[in-house]
Order: sequence, then structure tokens, then C-alpha cells
Amino acid sequence: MTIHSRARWGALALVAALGFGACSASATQAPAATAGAGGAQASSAAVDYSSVTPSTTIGKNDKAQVTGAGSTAIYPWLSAVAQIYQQQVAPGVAVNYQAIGSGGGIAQFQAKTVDFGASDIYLNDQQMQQIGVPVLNIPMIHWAAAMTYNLPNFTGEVRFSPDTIAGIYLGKITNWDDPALAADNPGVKLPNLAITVAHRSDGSGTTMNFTSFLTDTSAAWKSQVGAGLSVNWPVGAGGKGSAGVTAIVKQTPGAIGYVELSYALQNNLPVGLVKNAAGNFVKPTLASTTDAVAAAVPNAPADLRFLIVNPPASYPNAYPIGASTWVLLYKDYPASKATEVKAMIDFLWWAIHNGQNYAAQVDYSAMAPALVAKVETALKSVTVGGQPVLP
Amino acid sequence: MSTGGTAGGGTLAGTTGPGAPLRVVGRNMGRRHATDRVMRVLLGLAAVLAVIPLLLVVVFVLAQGLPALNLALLTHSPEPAGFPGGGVAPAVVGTLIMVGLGTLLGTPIAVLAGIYIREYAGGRGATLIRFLVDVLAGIPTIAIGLFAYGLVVVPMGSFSALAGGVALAVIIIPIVARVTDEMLGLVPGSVREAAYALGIPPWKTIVRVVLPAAATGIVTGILLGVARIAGETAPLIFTALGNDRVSTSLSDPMDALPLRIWVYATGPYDSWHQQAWAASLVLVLMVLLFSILTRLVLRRRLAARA
Repeated sequence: MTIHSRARWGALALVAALGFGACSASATQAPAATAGAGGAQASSAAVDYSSVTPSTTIGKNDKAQVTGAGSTAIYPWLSAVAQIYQQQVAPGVAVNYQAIGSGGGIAQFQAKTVDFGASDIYLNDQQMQQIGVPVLNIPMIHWAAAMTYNLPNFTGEVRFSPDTIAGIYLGKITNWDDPALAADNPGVKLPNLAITVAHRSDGSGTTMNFTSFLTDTSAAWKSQVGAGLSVNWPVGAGGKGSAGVTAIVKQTPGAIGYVELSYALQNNLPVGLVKNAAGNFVKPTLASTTDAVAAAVPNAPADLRFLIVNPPASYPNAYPIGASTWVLLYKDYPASKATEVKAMIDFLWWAIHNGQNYAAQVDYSAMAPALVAKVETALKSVTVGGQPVLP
Repeated sequence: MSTGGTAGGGTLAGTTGPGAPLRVVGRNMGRRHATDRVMRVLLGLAAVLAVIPLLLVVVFVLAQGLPALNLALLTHSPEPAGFPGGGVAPAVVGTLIMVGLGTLLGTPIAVLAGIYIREYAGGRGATLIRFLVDVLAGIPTIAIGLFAYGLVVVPMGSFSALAGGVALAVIIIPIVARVTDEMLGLVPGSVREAAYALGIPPWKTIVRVVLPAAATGIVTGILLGVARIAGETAPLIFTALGNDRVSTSLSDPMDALPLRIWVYATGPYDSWHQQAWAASLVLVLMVLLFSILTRLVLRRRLAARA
């Protein structure tokens, strides 16, 4: 748990080497540059989880199928850690996660047809009340909403200030050679090309984080549009999922859209730099997103429902449009599900510690170290038939 | 109208032998032959157009699916999203189990219902039930999936292979019931009457005489139904959910080939797209192989009985 005790890396490397040897080995041999909590280098590779007591309450012979459904954003990481957990920790435990989308995950969680849900945005008060029983929102992994664009024959990086993004999405800035964009990009000649705005057509956690960021930073956006899973877009074309937005951007010269960072990286899309509260233009990376998490954790409420957008100026390297994916759990499970719940909590415990080391492999940002303790407390509060699952 | 009459006479004259009106009729005949030829060509073209999609589908699936088809695809479980390798073994196993379950649940009900419609229900009753069965056949399968979700998934509190099997059973019932009905109708009434004349009761007549006579047709109908439900995606989305591991438990989520193809084809990874094509090929081959095998078995059995 502590960042200082790098000596203990060895124990973890033994475990990790089985799966992703190259990654962990390089981290042990060449300790990352010493960086504070707000440092850009404090990414997943520098966090030591080996002092955490292994939680394995599951016996080697316990068999259980755990079913979860929801967010597509968390799927690459969750399916990877589920497989590694089964291969290395509990061979009899199959965690089956199906990426049906955050909205679907919330709906099935409300219908109580899954053991856990996953969503790119925490449940709001009304949704929590509808379920009728106490529920927990557990942040699991973090990522960035990246600005991507299609500028033919332009190879540089485009910089965006929050007001410029708001202006584009409000329909006030309609051409790439607009003075506002020129002011953001001194010394760069942006083409005379009409801007086509792309946004998500479906209810989306990415939209929630993107519009929350604009609401936080632009008075005009706050008064005219606001934040939500889906909003009343003043301009633009809608695409379903990150794939839909990408398709619009790829097919339309001059288009701009926002997608999850991992999606942009895997599809070789250009991503823009966004100006944060400190006035720096920051590229969306795993490290700059973890910084945004670190900035938000000190003020995170006990129920762990918090956004990581627009971090304060004291985190100069933080990317301002961060996002998280939450796992949704019931606070109490029926005693008839004891085996599944034990297996699920044990898996989640492993996932918030050892599992975080695989985040970078799939282009996600690990949980900020300061958050892990809060998530531990939340996991420990889960009961089955009234009895705590974890010691 | 009158020329038509002359032409009719002329045809007769033309075929029976030479006659005075032949030249007049011959001109008429030429036009009719031309019309006939044009229509034949048009109908032939339509037939070709109807078959072209089949050829294109087979060629496309073969061309795209063959390169990614290998033993590992059939024996391995999927790797985590975005990682190369892995296979669709859970989907192959799941499709076999759920299609088997759906057929097992649906076919007996369907065959019995078909027998009732043809042999027992009166004229008006038969018409009404036939109509209702046709309506069931016309209900979009996604609605049937939702129905099974409400009927099985929500009360059980879990997505399950059982729910998928129930949805598939509801889809196969009208197909098999109508085919059974039609096939029983093809058995001549005289066969039944002959049995009655020998003092055989109606139920025994149906079981021992009518059903065996219609067996080939009914089995063909069941095959069509199986092929149909093997390719269904929509009813499995809210029922079987999907599973990345091989699971044989009926009370847990299960994978299926169409479901896996849908997820992979719409996903963001190239390795998924390739496996989606290969899985399509596997699905097509499975249905083809199954129907050929059943036909062979059936033919041998019928031959043995004869």
C-alpha cells in the first residue's frame, strides 16, 4: 500500500511475472523516478500492494460462478483480471462479466438478475432508492475522456482550453481557423475547415464526465446545457458508443468527438491536449489520469460517489477530463448466495490490489493509492445473510 | 377474347396436322412463344437472384472465416478483450446445449399440438388454432426473448441457459406444429379409413399408421426449426447473457455462437472481427452437418423399416 517500500516489489513480481513478466520485471529493475502523490509518474507501476494481506478466504477447491454485467469501458481490464485471478488464485472461481453497457448494467442490477453491476457513473440518489435495498458504489478503475479529431494532412497536436471545447459544442466556434483555437495553439496553423461536432447518442458515462467538466469550467455551458448521461446537444451528430463517435470522426474531415482514451489508443486516433486548472495543456495519459484521481481522493465522500473532472491547480500534471468505472454491489446478499458472494468479494479484493497492476496493460489508469484504503472499507461492509464476508 | 378462341383452335389444329388457319395461328403463336420466352427468362432470373445471396453468403463466410478457423478456435475459451488468441469453445458448447434444450422442450409440445390441430380439432377450432400458431410464428424473436426474461430470468434472479432454452423452445414450437399439421394432412384419408376398417382405434391409427407415414416430413420440419433457432441472437441477449468460460450449468449464464458473433462483430478489436467470421463459418457448418447427419440416419431407418 505504501509508495515508499519498493523492496517488497519482489513478492508481487513473482505473481505478476507469470502473467505479464516483462512489465513487472522492468518496474523492479528500474525503480521509477521518485515522485510525490501529485507527480506525473505515480502511475500503476510505482504502487506496491504486496503488504496487503492476501484475502484468499476462498479455498482452492471452492467452485463458484459469479455473474456481472454493465460498462463496456471496464471490460478489457475486468475480463483480463478475471482470467488471471482464475489462473493464479482460485481455479474454481469463474467471474463472468458481460459488457452490455452502463445503462444495461444499472438496469440488471436494479432487477437483481446479476451478482454485480458495473457503470461508468455512480448511481444517483433516485436510482439507489428505486432498488429498495442498500447498495455500494465501488470505484474500480480510471480512464480519460479524450478529445479526438479528423484534420487531414495535419500532424501536430491540437490544444484545447475548456472554453474552446464549450464554444465548439455550443455551436459558437464552427471552423478550425477560429481565433479561439488559434489562441490555444500559438505558432500552429490550423486549417480553414468547418467543424463537425460528434457526441454520444446513447446514455453514457463518458458523456456524464465530459459534460460535468464543461459545466465546471464554462458558465455558458452550465446555463445552456448542463451535465448528464445524455444532454440536449445544441449541435452535432450522435453516434452509438465510442465506436459510433469514432466512425463519425473518421469519416468526416473536420470532425471532433470525445471517446475513452483506451479506445482512441487502440484505434490510433489523434488525441488533443486539454488545459487544466493550473493552466497547463495536458495530454490524456494513464499517469495524467491517475493524477486526476489523486487530486479528487482527499475530498471523496465515504460513499465513494465522486467525479475526477477539473482537478485543482495544485495538481499541475492532471488531465482535466478523467472518468471512473464503478462496480455496483448490494450491501447485503441472501445467505443462499454465500459461495458466489464470497468468491466475488475475494475477487474484487484481489482486483483492487494486485489487479491494478494490469490496468496499464489495457490502457487504463490504476486506482490512486490513497483511494485503495477507502475502497477496502467499502468492500469490508458487504455482508451475506447479515454476516460480514471479509474479516 | 375472340382471337384467343381462334388461337386455341389453331393450337389444336397445329398439333393435329396442317390446316388452312395455320398461317394466321402461326403468327399468333409466334407472339405467344415470345411472351412465354420472355416470362421464362424473367422467372429464371428471379430464381437466380433468389439463390445469389446464398452463394454470396457462403463465399463470404468461407473467404473471411477460413483463415481464422483452427482447432484452437473450437477448443479454447476467449482471451481477455483485446488480447490475441483464444477461441469460442464456450459458444460452441453453449449453442449445442441450448439448441438441444430448446428442441427437447419445444418439439414434443409442437408435434402433439400439430396432431391435435389436424386429427382432433374441428374445422373452426383448427382454423383458430392454426391462426394463433401462425401469429406466434410471426412474433419478433426479440419480444420472445423479453418474454423469457420476465418468465424465467427475473423470478430466478439470474440469467441462465434454461431461460435461453425456454426462449428457443417458444420459437421452435410454431414452426414444428405447423409442419406436423401440414404433413399429417398429406397422409391420404383412405389410409386412416383402412385402419378403422380393421377395427383399430383412432389413437392407435395415429400413432402406428399416420405418424410413421408423415415421419420424414415432420423430421424435416424439426430440422428446419433447429437450424432456425441455432442462428437466433435476439432471444438469447436477455436470457443466456453470454459467458467467457465453458459452462454446462443450466442455472448459470451460457454462451452461444450467434451471441458471440454479435459481440465480436460489433466490438472494437480486429482479432474479434476475424473470430466473428470464423465463428459464423462454424455455425453454418454445424447446422449443415447436423441436417445432413439427421437425413442420413432417417433414410437408413426408413430403409430398414421397409
